[in-house]
Amino acid sequence: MNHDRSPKNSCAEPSNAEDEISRSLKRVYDEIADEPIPDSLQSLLNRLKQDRPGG
Amino acid sequence: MSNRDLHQEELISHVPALRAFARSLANDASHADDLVQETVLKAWSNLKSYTTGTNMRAWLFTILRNTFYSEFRKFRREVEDVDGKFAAQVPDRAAQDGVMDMRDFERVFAQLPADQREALTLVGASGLTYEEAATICGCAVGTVKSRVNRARARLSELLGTNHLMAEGEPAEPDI
Repeated sequence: MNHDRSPKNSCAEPSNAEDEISRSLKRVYDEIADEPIPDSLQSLLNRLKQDRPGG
Repeated sequence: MSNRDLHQEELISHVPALRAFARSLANDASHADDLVQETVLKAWSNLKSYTTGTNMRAWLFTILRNTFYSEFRKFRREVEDVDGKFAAQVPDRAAQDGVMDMRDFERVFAQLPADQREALTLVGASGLTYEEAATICGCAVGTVKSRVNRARARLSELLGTNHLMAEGEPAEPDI
């Protein structure tokens, strides 16, 4: 799944510390985004899809 | 497939990103997923107000953010580290071996004020532009840039990477 995480206007020459922070931040973000959707939330999505007209 | 069906499918595709953004605000997985659930319900029932061709992710992030702050104002949830429990766990030097431990990073990140966490997450992780982030946060672009800069500086300080800042290329005023 593409979450479109590419920065569009970040600093052209980030320092080493900024690089490290950026990498860590993205890694945490991506880890969460890649987690399986919790059952309660998945159930809600399934219910909403079933309830839609023609769904 | 109707426009509404397409919008619903698109909305569902943004749930992983919503969860990641919610976690940066709420600092608690359970609370974050409650926020996402509420955001999905609100968005689903208001899809007719979404304009085709605009940025749905930004629209959803705005709903989630408004939900978070509305709830915060109402219940005064504890979102900052008022008792210093995270500060007590901050490593002396998180990047000593050159590899930043992710749990250390998360603990330190959680110490930032909510407005800095959201600005850094929107721009630095979710790939939104400063302009989009400013729209979501309801503030000026310069304010977002300032929050991102302050967040990075504070993270560097807490993670003990100031020496890298000093040795690296001079930082641009606007990251």
